[in-house]
Amino acid sequence: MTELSLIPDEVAARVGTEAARATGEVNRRDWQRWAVAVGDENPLWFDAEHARAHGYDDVICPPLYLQYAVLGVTPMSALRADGSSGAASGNLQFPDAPKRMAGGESTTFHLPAYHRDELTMVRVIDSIVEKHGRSGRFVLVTWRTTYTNQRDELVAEATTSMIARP
Amino acid sequence: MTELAAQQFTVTRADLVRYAGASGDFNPIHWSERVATSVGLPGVIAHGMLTLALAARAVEEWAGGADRIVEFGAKFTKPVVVPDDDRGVVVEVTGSVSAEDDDRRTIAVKVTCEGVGVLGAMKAVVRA
Repeated sequence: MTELSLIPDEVAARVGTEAARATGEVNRRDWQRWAVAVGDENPLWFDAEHARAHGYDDVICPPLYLQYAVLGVTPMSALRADGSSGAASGNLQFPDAPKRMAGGESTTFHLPAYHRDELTMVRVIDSIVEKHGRSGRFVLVTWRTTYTNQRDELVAEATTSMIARP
Repeated sequence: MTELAAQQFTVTRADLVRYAGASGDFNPIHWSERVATSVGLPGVIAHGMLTLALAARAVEEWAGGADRIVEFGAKFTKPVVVPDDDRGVVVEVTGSVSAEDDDRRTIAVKVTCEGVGVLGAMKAVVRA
């Protein structure tokens, strides 16, 4: 007996296409709030004089914060049943695998981002595969993401994955 | 392989609430025991990106500067379960230099929680 795929055909057909595109302004107060939340009070994020002494024009955005700068606000009514937002993932639907968890994240950083930089995130679906793990079947989705600034300079590139389970 | 000094970070439920607000990631598996257990998790778990950010703090310390990280990433292999008490849970980050040349150092990073690896295939490339 062949099990039915957890990946709907119309979702499988989206591999290689753009899943999401978003633009957002890098905001100093927001990244500082994030830095405090992770306990990273490095003066490069907070102290302009310190940042200038290290060769920057001003305080810089913590690299791991970049993705949050472009994520918009998801209205409550648009959240999925589990309460998470599908905005950045292109709202891929897996009706037979509705439980989602982040899989992994790997980023290469090319340039610093400053307050009021305008970042554009373009996220392309790299692969969608079904796997069998110790805890059963799951779907692994991988995206490739680029972040460019208002001068079309590549700020960072990331590979992100997500796991969806039945 | 040069071993780097291990670093420990405590994560409490309050930290998860703070991270949810600062990141905009309000997935209830990070704050509701009921929702977390209903989807098969052992309890409320930390945001993978929060754990990654703690590992980044350790790497910044080893690299001698927060802006020296060129490449950074991991797989979220096991959840960091955060108990509903004031003590929280301790995440330990250890690392060793696995490759080095004139301008780049590659650090193999291990992140564990109560002896269990929580991030996998973790690697950081930093400017030497």
